[in-house]
Amino acid sequence: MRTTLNTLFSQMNTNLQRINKDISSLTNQISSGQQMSKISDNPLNMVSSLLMRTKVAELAQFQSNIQYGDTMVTAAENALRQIKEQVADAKVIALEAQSPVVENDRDLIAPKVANLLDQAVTLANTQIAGKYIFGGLRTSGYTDIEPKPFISELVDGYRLNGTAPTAAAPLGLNDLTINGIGVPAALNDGLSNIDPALSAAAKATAINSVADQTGVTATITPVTLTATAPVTAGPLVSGDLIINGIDIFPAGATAIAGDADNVIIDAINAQQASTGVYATHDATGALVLKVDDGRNLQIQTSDNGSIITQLNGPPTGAPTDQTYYGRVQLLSDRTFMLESTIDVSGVETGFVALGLDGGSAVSGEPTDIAGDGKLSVLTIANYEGNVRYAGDREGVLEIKVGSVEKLAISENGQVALKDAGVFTALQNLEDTLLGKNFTESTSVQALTNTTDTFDLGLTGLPTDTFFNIVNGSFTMSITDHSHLPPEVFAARIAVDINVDSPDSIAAKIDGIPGVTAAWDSDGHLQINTTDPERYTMAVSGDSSNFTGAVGITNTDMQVQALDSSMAELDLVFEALTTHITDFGARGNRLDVQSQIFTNLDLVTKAHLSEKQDTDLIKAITDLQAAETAYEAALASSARVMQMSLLDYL
Amino acid sequence: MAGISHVLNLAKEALVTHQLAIGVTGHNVANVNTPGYTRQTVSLGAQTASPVGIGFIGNGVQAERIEREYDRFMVQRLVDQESKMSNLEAQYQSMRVVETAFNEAPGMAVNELLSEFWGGWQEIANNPEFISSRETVVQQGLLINEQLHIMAAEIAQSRGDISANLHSAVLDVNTLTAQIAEINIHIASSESDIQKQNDLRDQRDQLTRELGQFVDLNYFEMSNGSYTIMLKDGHTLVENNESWSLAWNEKNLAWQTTNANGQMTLTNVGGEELGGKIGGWMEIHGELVEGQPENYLGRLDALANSLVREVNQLHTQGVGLVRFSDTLRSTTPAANTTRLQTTVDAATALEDTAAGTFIINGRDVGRIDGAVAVNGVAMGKTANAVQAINDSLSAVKARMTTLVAGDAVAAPTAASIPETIDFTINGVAISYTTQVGDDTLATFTANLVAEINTTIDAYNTATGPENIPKVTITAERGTGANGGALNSIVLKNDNPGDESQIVLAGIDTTSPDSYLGLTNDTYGADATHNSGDITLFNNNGPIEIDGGSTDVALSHLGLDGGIYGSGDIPGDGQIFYDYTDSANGVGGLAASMMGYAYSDELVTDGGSFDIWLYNSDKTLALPTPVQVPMDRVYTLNDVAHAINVAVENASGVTTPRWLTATVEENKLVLTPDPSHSFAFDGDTSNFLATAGLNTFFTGHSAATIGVNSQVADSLEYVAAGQVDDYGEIFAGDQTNALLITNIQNKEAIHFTGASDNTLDGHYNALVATIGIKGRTVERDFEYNTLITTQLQEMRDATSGVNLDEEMANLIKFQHAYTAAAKLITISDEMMVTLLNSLNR
Repeated sequence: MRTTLNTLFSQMNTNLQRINKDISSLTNQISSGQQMSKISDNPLNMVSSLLMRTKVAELAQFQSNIQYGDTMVTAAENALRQIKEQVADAKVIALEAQSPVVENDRDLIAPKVANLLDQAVTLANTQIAGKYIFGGLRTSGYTDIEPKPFISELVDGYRLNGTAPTAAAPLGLNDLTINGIGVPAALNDGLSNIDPALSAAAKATAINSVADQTGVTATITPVTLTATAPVTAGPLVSGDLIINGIDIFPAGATAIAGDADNVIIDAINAQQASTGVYATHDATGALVLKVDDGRNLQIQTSDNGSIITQLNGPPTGAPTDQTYYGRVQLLSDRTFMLESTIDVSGVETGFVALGLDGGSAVSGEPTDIAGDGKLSVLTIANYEGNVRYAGDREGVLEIKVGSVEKLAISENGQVALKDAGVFTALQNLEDTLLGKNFTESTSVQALTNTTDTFDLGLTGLPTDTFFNIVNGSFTMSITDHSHLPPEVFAARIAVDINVDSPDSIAAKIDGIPGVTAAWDSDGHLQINTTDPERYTMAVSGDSSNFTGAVGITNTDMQVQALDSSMAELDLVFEALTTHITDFGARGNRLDVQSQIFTNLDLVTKAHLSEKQDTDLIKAITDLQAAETAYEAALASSARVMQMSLLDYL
Repeated sequence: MAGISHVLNLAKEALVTHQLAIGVTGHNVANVNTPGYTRQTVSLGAQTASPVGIGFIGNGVQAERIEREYDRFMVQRLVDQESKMSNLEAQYQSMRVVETAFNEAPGMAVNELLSEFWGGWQEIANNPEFISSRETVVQQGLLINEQLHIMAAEIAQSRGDISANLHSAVLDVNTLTAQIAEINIHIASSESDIQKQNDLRDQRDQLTRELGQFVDLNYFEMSNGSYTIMLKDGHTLVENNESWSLAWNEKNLAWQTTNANGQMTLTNVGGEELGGKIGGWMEIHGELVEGQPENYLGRLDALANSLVREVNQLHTQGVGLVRFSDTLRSTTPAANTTRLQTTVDAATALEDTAAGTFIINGRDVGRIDGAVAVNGVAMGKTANAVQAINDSLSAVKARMTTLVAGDAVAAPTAASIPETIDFTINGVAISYTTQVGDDTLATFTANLVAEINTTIDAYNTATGPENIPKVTITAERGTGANGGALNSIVLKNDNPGDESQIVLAGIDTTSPDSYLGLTNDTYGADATHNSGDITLFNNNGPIEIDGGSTDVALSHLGLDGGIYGSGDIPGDGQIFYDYTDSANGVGGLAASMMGYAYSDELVTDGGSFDIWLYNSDKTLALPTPVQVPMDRVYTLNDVAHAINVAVENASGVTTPRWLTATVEENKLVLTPDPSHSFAFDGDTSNFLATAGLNTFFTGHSAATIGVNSQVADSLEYVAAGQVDDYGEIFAGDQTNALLITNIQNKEAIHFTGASDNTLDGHYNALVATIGIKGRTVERDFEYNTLITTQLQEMRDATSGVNLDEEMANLIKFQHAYTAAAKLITISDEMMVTLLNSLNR
C-alpha cells in the first residue's frame, strides 16, 4: 500500500493525541483523587456511587438522630429514677408515720411529703434543650395558665358545673351540641317517679351516650335539699309529707322541735329503698334531704307538713308539690364547646336543660355571652392537691432510624407519670397524714354480737368507761369531689343505746349516699366510699362514743390509710421501675442501632471509595507507562519528520 | 514515414509530453497539502505507428489524458464515514455541555442536595420547636431550587447554542449545495470524454464531503458528469444546476421548495435520522426541547414536578408553629384555560383512527379505536379518544362529561295515580307524586325531568343555610339521539368536561320507583356514561391540532369546517384555538380548576379539606374543623364559595364572616376576621397542594420550582406538625416532618412520562442515561476517528501525494525529457550532416 506524507503525519498526530488524552485523564485522576470527573467517565459506577453517597449521608443523619434520641432517653430515664427516689423517700416517711409514737404529730410530717410531691413535679417538668421531656409532643409552647406540663393545684382536664334547673327543662334531640356532635334526647331515667325524662340522670345518660364522639362525659350531683328552717313541733298525718310519691307518715306521727328525736328523718330513711332519698339534720335541726342518684326529688306537702318540715317553703293554703332536679357536671380532657338551639323566644333550650343559660355569671366562663347559644369551656379551675397534666396525652417523640422505621424516644407524662399514679399516691399520703379524705375504714374492734341493742352489753366490746357507748350522735362527712369546689354532705347519725344495735348503726351509715357500711363475718365494721376517687369521708362530733368504741375514729382510719398508702406507693414504685426499664431498653436499642449504622457506614464508605476514589498506585503506574509511550512516539515522529527524499537530491 | 523529421517530430512530442508530465507532477507536489486533492497522473501512450516497408514504425509518445487517481468507492465510503464522524462529533460536543449540567461526579449537585434536604427534615423532626432547624430546611430547599434552575438554564442555554449551530449549519448546507450546483454546470459544460475537470471534480468532491459532514447523503454521478445529491430520506438537495435549501425554525428542520404557484412551501424532514452534524445536533436538541416528557429536560422536570407534588401534598396537611392569622394567598394562580368542546361524530363512530393522525400541541396522539354509538352518541369512541389524547402527554388535557341514561320510563296506569316516587341524585332528595295525565309516557317523562331540574335548582339556590356542594346536574328527556333511549331520563353534568360522579340512590326496584328506569349506582365518566363530548383544556396557551392536510380526520371528532379559531382556515386539517375563542357555546374558562399544573391530582368526587378555626387567644373557635367539600368544583370561584358557605354554616355567623375566601388575580385569598385564625388539616381533595396553599414548594418543573415565600419569609409556617384530632397544635409536634422524610425512600412515586420510582432512583436513572449516552458517543467518536483515519489512509493510498514518489517521478520525467532533448540534438546533428553533404 502506498503511504503518503499526510498519512504519516496524521498517524503521528492521532497517536500523540491519544496518548496525550490518556495522560491528561490520569493526571486529573491523580490530582483530584477521584476516578470520575464527569458522569460519562463511568456512568454505572457513577450511579452506584450516587446511591452510596445518599446512603452515607442518610446514615450520618440517622446517627445524629440517634444521638439526639439518646439524650432524650437518658434524660427521661434519669428523671424517672429521681422521681422513683422521691417515692421511696415517701415510703420511708409512711413507715415512720405508722408508729403510734407520732400519732398526734402526723400532720407535722405531712409537709415533708408535700416537699417530695413538689420535687416530683419539678422532676416531671424536666427540660432538655428547652424541651419538656414528659410533655408528649407539647415540648414547648405553654401558656400563662398552663406554664408547664405538670402544674400543682389545678384540676385535670376541663370541668363545667351545671346548676339545678328550677323548672321542668327538657333536653330534646340536638338541643345541645357538644363539640359539634348532637346530643340525643333525654329519655325516661327509670328512677324518677315524676318527670323521669327531665332528671339529671336522664340528661347525663343522653350526654354520655355520645361521649365517645364528643370526648365529654357527664356526672351527676344528686339533689340536696336543705329545709329553710328547723323542724317545728306538731302532729303529722298521712299526706302531710309525700316524698317521690311515698307517703312518709301513713299512720301519722308527732314531730318535736328540731326533730331532736329523729322521728322525721327515721321515717324518711325507712322509705329510702323506695324513694331513693336520705334524710339528716343540719346543726340547727333543719331537715337535709339527699337523693342517692340522679333522680328527681318530688316533695309534696300539706300546709301542716310544710309548716312542720319547712321543706317546701311557707304554707300556701293548699297542698304544695315541688320537684327538685339534680345537677349535671361536664368534664373533658380538652377544652370543649357546647352549642344550644335557641328557640323562638331566644331561650337557649339546651343550656336551660343543664342550668347553664345566663352567660358567664352562671357558667363561670369569662367568654360566655348570654343568649348566643354557644359556650366554650376554656377555664381551668383550681383544685387543691391535684397535679394537672397539661401536656400532650397521645403523642410520643420519635426519631427516624430507617427509610420508614421510627423509634419512640419518650413517653408522655400522662402514661409515664399520671397513669403510674405518682402524684396521686404522694397526695394521698399527704392527705392521710393531714387526717383527711379517707375512703375506707375497718373498725379496730371486732364485735361478737351485732344484732342486739347496745344497752344489753352483748356486743363483745371491752367494758370500761372508754368503751362505753352512750346516747348521742356522730357526724359522717362525705365529700363529693366530682363537683368543683368539692361539696361536703354531713350526715348526723344518732345513737340510742336502747334502740340501736351495731347493725342498725351500720345500716344508718350505709344509708348515706356515697358510703357503704356493714359488719363483716369477723365482726369488723367495714365502711367504704362507693367511689374512692369521688367520695371521701371523715368522722367528727361524736357525742355517743360509738366511733371510739368500735375504732373507726379518724386516727384509726389514718393508720389504716397509711397501710394502703404504702401499698399504693409500692404499685407506683413498680410502675416507675417498669418505665425505667423500658427507657433502659430503648437506650440499649439506640446503642445497638448506632453500632449497626457505624458498621454499615464503614462498609458503605469502603465501597464508595472503591467506586469513586482513584487507585493511586494503578494510576501512577499507568501514567508512567503513558509517559514512556509518549516519549517513544515523540522520538520516532521526530526522526520520521526529518527525513525526506528532498534531502538527498 | 520514417525520416529525420520523423525523429525530430518524435523527439518534440516526447519533450512536450514529458514537460506536461513534469507539470502534472509539479501540480501534485504543489497540492500535496490541499485537502481533497487527488493525485493526478498523465497517462502516456505510444503514438499510432506509421507503416514502413518492413512494418510499422513507432511515432513516439503522446499524453493521452490527465487522470485522477480516484477510487470512487473509497471516496463515497469516506463521505459516509465523515458524515457519521461529524454526527458523533456534534453529539459528543453537545453532550459534553449537557453533561456538565448533570455533573454529579464532584458532588454538591442534586443527589447530595436532596439527601441533605431529607436530612434537614429529620432535623426538624428532632427539633420542631426551633426556628434554626426550619431555617436549615428552607435553605436546603432553596439550594435544590437553585441547582435545578441552573440545570434548566444550562439546558436552555445548550438548546439555544445548538439551535444557533443548526442555524449556521443550515446556512452552510445551503451555500454548499449552491456551490455544488454551480460546479455541476461547469463540469457538465466543459468536460468531454477525455478532458476531465479534475480539479473542479476534486473541489466538488471536497464540497460534497463537507456537505456530508452536515447531513448524511446519497449521491451519484449523472452521465453528464453532474452530481445528484439527496438526503437519506430522498429529498433532493442538488440536481444538475439546481439546488434546494434547508431551513431551521428552532423546532424543525424543513426542506424548502416552490410549488406550482411559485409559493414557498416547507416540508419537515425529520431530525436525528438525518445524520451528520445536523442530525447529531437535532438528536441532542430533541433531548433538551421543552414539552417532551421523555427527554432529558422532561425527565428533569418530572423529578422537580414529583418532588414538589410529594412534599406539598404532605406539607399542606400540616401546621407550623403558628396559625394563619393574616391574609393567605395561594401561590399558584389558576390559569385562564383555553377550552374547546366538540362532539364526536356519531356517524363515523365505528371507524378507527390510526396512531399519528392527530398531532395536538406537538405530540402525536395514539390510535383511537372506534366503538358503536349508543342512542346517537359515540360514547365508546369518546372515551377512547380522551384516553389517547391524555396518553400523548401534551399540554392539552381532554375530559369527558358524565352522562347517565336510564331505560325508557314506564308510565303508571291511570288507576294507580297518585303515587310518590322518592330517590336522591348526589344526595338531593327528589320526590315526585304522579298526577293526572302521567299515564301518557311522554307527559310523565317530561314531568319527571321538570321535577328533577326544579328540585336541584331549589337545592342549589337555597338560602340560610346554603347548600354545598352544589349539584351541577341537569335532566333531559331521552330522544334516542341524546344518549338516552326515547322517553328515558338522561342526567348530565352541566359543565363541559366535568367528569364528576352522578350518584343515584334510594330507587326501589318496585313501583313506583321502578317507573324511572334508573338504577342505584355511582356513575363516573366512562365509556358508557358520557355525553359524547370531548372537552379539551390547555392552561397555558392555545390548542393546536394538526389533523393532516384536509378536515377528514378532524370531522371524525366533529372538528371539521374550520369554524373554531379566529383566522382558522376551513379544510386545511389544522385548528388553532385560543382562550378568547369559543365554539359550541363554550369559551375559555377563567380561573379554572383545570388550570393548575397539578389539576390531575384534584379529587372532586368526595374530596374535601378541613379548616380549624381558632379565636385570637389560640383557643378553638369551633370544636370541630370546618369541612369544605370539593365535590364538583369547577373554578376557583366555586372553591371560594364553598369555603365561605362552609364557614358560615359551621359558625352560624355571617358578619363578620370568620374566614372569607375571595379570588383575586386567579389566586384564592383567605382572610380571617381580626378575632380569628385558622389552620388546615385532612385534605383528601389535594386542593391545597394544587392551588398552593400552605405548601413548601411552588412551581412544577425544574425551571419553576421555588420555595413558597410564605414559608421562606416566616419560618414558623414550615409545617412540621399536624393539628391533632382535638384541634390542638403542639410546638414539639414532629408528625408531619417525619412523614415528609418518608418521601426520600417512597418507592411508588409517579413521574410524568416515566415509570414509578423513588425520587433518587428517577434522577439516578436520568444521570445514568446521560452518562451512558455521553460515554457511548465518546467511545463511538474515538472508534470512528480511527476508522476515518484508516479510510483516509486507504483513500490516500490511492489518491494521496507522496513527495518521494513525485520526486522520483520528477527525476524520471526529467531524464526522459533530457533524453528527448538528446534525440533532438541527434536529429539536429543528423540534419546538419545531411545538409553539409549537399553543400559540398
